[in-house]
Amino acid sequence: MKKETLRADKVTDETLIAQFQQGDVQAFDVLVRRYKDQLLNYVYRFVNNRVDAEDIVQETFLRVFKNKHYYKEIAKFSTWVYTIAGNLAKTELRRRKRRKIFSVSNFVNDERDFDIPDGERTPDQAVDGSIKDSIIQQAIDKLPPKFKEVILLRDVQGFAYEEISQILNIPLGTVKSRVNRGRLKLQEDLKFLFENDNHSKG
Amino acid sequence: MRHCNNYEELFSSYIDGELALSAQKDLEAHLDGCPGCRETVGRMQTIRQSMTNLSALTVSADFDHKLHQRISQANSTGSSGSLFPDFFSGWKMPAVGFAAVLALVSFFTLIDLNPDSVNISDTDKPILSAPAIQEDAVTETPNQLYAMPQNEATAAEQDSTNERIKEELKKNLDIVNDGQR
Repeated sequence: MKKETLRADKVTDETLIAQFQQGDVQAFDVLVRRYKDQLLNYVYRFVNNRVDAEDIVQETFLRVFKNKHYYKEIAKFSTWVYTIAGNLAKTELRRRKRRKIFSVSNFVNDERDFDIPDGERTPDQAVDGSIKDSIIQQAIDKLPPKFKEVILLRDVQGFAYEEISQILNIPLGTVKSRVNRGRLKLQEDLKFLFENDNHSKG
Repeated sequence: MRHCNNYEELFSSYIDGELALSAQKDLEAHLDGCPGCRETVGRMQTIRQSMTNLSALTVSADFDHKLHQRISQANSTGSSGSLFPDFFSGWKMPAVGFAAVLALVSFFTLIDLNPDSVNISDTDKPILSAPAIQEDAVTETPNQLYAMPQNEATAAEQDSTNERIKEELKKNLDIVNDGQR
């Protein structure tokens, strides 16, 4: 069993999807094992809901399974699977937006400012390091989708600019420009955190 | 001298170490003299670092089981996982159904309002063909009913004309005969 796992780990994604296209379902299982967690982290940061994120990742693999013959080796498998997951995540955000428009709660001002850390932290925020996580997540949520997707792919998932360009099917220059604008917006929104840091240091 | 806005577009490339050496030196010279830009770049670097260190999630324990269930379900209901293509998902299915019903109702309403239409209950005749012309009716069309008397009148007129011609000819003949006398 261990030997089998080691052998599978050496095989490239592209070989695995080719094997799956030939009918080897175990190759599909290896791909699921490789990508399920990293896709979950990508989608979760996108939609900020664990249940929705897990459902989207499942749907992503289901589409890979059903449409395996649409994959051509002109692109990396990771490019293909991230494109599917990203599109599903964006669809989910659009669905939420439509629901929000038609919802009665639309009449209530839902714009919330960031929670500045204080003495009334909720238990999960009190865990060391989680405060910044939740605040950064709120800042990510505020980004327009076109900035959010490049920031997540670049800074959370660590993709190269070229691969982001392929995943999103936009020019390389546009990717770089959006990453820069997204980062500028994040630092603007999170400026208050650094002011607190400066005060505490001083 | 370049303005801060011109340098701002280089910040990400600088953080990622992707600037050409000359552009990097130019930017660093600007940062040395501009505390605002220097702080902005510092914040961007810190946030980028925090993004890479965000707590990582792992899928729930029953993820694989659920996925296999969904795949089996999709396989049992066909390749698309549904009886209908994805195009008909969501609001489109009822909309298409409503449009089809509307089209059918409109079709039958138009058929009923058409004056040339045939009584649908008359099953002996084809619904969409023009009304059939009966053999008897052909001989009894108004024009043909008046055809015979018209012909008779013409014959009577012709007879009286002939009589007048004969009388004229006789008169003329009498005049000629009188002159000769």
